Formats: sequence, structure tokens, C-alpha cells
Amino acid sequence: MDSFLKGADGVAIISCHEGECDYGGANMNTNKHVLFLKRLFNHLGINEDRIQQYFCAAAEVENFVSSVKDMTNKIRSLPPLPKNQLNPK
Amino acid sequence: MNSEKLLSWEFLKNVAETLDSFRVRALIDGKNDILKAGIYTEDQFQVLFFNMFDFEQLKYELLTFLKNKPENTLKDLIEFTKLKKIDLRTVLTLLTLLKNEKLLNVEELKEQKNTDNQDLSIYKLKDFIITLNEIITGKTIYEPVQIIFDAKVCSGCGLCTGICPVNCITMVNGIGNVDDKACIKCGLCYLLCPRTFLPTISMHMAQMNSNHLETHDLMGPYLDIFSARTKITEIKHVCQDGGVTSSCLYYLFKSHQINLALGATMSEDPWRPKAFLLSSKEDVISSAGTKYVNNPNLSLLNDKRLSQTNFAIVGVPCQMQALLKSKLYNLHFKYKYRIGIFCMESFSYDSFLKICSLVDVNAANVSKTNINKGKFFIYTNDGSEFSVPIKEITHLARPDCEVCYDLTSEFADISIGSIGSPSGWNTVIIRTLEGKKLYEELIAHDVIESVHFKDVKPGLSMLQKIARSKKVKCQKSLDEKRKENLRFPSY
Repeated sequence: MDSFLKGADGVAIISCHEGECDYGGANMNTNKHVLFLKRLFNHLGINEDRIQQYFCAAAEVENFVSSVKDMTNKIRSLPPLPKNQLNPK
Repeated sequence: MNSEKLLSWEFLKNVAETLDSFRVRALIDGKNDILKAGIYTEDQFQVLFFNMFDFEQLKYELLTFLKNKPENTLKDLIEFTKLKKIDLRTVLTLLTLLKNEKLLNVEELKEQKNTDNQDLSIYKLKDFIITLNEIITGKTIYEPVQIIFDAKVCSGCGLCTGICPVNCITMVNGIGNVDDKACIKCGLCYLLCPRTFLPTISMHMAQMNSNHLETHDLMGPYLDIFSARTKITEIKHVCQDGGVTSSCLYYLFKSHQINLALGATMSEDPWRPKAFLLSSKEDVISSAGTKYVNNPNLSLLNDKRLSQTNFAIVGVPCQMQALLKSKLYNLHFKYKYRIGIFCMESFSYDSFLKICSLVDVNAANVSKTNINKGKFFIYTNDGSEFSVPIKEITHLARPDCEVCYDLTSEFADISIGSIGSPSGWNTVIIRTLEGKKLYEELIAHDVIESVHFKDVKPGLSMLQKIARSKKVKCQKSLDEKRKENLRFPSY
């Protein structure tokens, strides 16, 4: 949410594949939060595509590139979110 | 998406702040525990969560709105209602919540209405002065209701048991206990408990479905009062006074308006009531008659059967308070009717046994109990009658009843008691339009006979006198608690 407040139009979270996390399953924990936020965004009338999680191992260059491209395309198609007028970034 | 264009940065900030609220977080983090406990399904959980989220969000919006000015009055609150297109009573409900979280101070400007009574002065509410407290973070943790149990002000209504999403609150003998290990600290119980704080102003407004500040004295808002008794012979044999409560349920079951009702019946122990889900008109007959031992009826609200059908709730004033409060705080149980019962005080089961031993009667032989003309009557199976003056047994009543001001179930749809009516009749106070509809149906279907309250003796003056005495007692007890710095419910 902080990123959105600071002016981001979308947030992509790129993490390891399921079961490959070095930090005891933090990726799937995040996944839960992302799914929850998507549901909340739906409830509030914000497009759920604005938050996205991609699974991508450190060596999968192509996967990473396509994820980022996918995200940028999705966000480009959406109107910009309102920005803080008092304190523009 | 078009709707996204309407969003503002302030809105996003608000969402972020709400997400940070401890109550919301507790529900997110405790989701697994909640689903495991099996009281809510995934869908029901979503509904519960989003209801709460919306309300929290509105609360923070109000707080931000008020923050822009150093001092706020009623005028500003009305401005906020126009801005958000909501009722004034919702805003007042939020205001009470914020006040209770100690985020702001509310000073009520009152104008004295009558001076003829020394004990109890009734004021007319004019305006508010709201000042914000200097707290940087607006995050309050709600403690579980254990503090209410410990402070001995719990009314034993059972709502906390009924709302708890992980089912960690148990209530035995009117004394609750929170299982600390299972509790997820979501604060729902604290929020809805009628003995933590009560937004009385907005509750009165909700009862009358009005949007103006009004003052109601002694008996709360009501539409009309009648005196009535049942015409159903089966009920006549078992009822306490006029049998109107039983007749209401009997009629509702018969006409298939409800399929279930929350009430009390006797358990295996003699005269120990238990919460009971009535499901037919035969159940109504078997559970008729007053039980003076208190009973956590609302603890059954988590019963799965209730979510699929229409039901009515019978309960004492504190239970009606709890129900309306939960409705105002956006966690509405889908009940159809609230039938309130007059209540001066109730007894714990142990005290009831003590009363029985005072007159040397075995509780198992008691056929009926009654409070009338300042005496507690006990009738036994062999037909004899015993009585104890109320004054001798008031010390045995539940200590929490001292802090209750409500005699006549001010927050029910229809309140039923015996005070003010001749013996064998019930006093019936119609409070809401739903209650009015029910009462008219009862008369139309020839279930009860009814006369207007002004035509009966002793009538209104008697009812007012007793209602006043309960309010005075409550005020004294609250003052005492305030002096001794004990926890007391804020009304």
C-alpha cells in the first residue's frame, strides 16, 4: 500500500517458485497477502491487476523479462492512480 | 475502469491506514484459525471481514475529516454526513467508537429538561464539542472481554460467545472465560459487548428510524403501550402472567414467519435455564414462564441453522442492547423480531438455590416463581406458596445488574412485562414499526386480547416509577464505580 501512496500505479512482486524459498516459505506467505489484496481491491473498486505476483527463479532470465513486460502492459492499459498533490514525488 | 477515476489519494491513504488497524490485521492473520474453528465458512468470513473493513475505513475518514479543524461541533458532523451521504446516526455511532478508543474527547452540551425530580435529571442534548487527543498513531488494540468479566460488569448476555470467530469464549453460570491460547485478539467481542460502551444516542435514533437528536426518558422511545393477555388455552396453563411472549412466538411459528427462535428453557438441573433454539410451537409451550436465573441466550447466535432461516430472539434488556449495538457496528444478525422482556434484576443459579433454602424448599419441587408487589414468590408442586421480601434478597442478585439502567428493553421491537398491568395481564410496549406490525397481526388473528394501557390500573405511573428507580440505582452504582476508579460501562 505504501508504494501506491508514493505514486506507483502498480506493484509487481517477483519471488521464487513454490517450495524453493530460502526463507521458509515466505513466497507463499506473500502470495496469501497478494490474493487478499486483490480481493480487497475488487471490493474497493480498484483494478486487481494493479498488484501481481510472479514466480521466477534467479536463473530464469526470460521468465523475468516476460513477467515485467506483462506487468507494464497491464498497467499501461489502466489509467494512472491519483497522486499526492501536496507532496508530489 | 471508470470507478477508478473517482478515487483520490486521500482514499488510498485511508485504505492503507485501515489495513494497519489492529482489528483488521487480526482478522487477516487469524483467517486460518477462524476457518479451522468452523464457525464461519470462507464466504461468511469475507462478508464479516468486508463489513468490518468498510466500517473501519469510514471511521478513519471521519477522524481525518475532524483532524483538519481544531474544534468540531454538531454542524461539522452534519457536514460529514452530507459529504458521505450517510445517516447522522452512523456518524454518531462512529463518534462513540472513536471516543471510546480515546482518540477524541466529546463534550455533550445539554439543556436541563425537567427539575422536578431530584434523583434523576433528564437533559436534552443540544450540541457536541469535539476535540482531538494528541496521539500520533490512531491504532487502538481492543482487549478481549476478559476485562469485562474481571470487572464483574458482564451481563452474561452471551453475545461474545456467539460472535467469537474462533469460539474461544465459554460462559458457565453467567461467568465468562476467554481461552487466551485460542483467542486471535480480533476485538469483536469488545466492540459488541453491551457493557463496554453503548452508543445510546444513535441506538435511540435507530429505534425510531429518525435522524435527529432526541431525548427519551425513563422508558426509551416507543410508539404505543397496551395491556394484553393470551387467548390460547394451552399457553394460559403454563404462562407467567399474560402469556403474550409465548403467544408471539406461537403465532410466528404457526404462520411460518420464523422457523427458529432463540430462548431459554429448563436444563436437567432444576430451575437452571439453558440457551435453547426453539423450532416449533410445541417448544414454545414447553419453555413458557419466566426464569429468574440469567441465561446466555445469544451464545447460540453462532448456530449454523440460523444463517439459513428466519428467526426471532427473546431476551432481557442487556441482550437487546447487544443486538442493536451489533447492528449499528455493521455486524448484523439476520433476525426478524426482537422480543424484549422487562427485567429489574436477575439471579445467578447459586443465589436462586440460596433463595430456595431461605424458605426451606428443594429447587426440584418448585413449580413456578414470580416477583410481585415487592416479594419473591415460590410455588411448589404440592400447591403451597412461599414468599421472601425482595429487599432481603437484592444482595443475592447478580452484581452486574446494578449497572444496567434499562428496565423495559428499550432496544427491542416489542417489549413485554407485567409491571403496570393487572394480575394475569401483560404490559406490551410497541417500539418499532416491525413490532407494531406483529402486534396488529396478533390481534387480527385472535391470538391475544388487548386494551389500551391508559385504561388499566395501576398503569403508566407505576411503570414509570419502577423504570425511574432502576435508572437511579444504576446512576448511583456508576458514580460509585467512578469514584473508586473501577471499570464501568459508558452509556
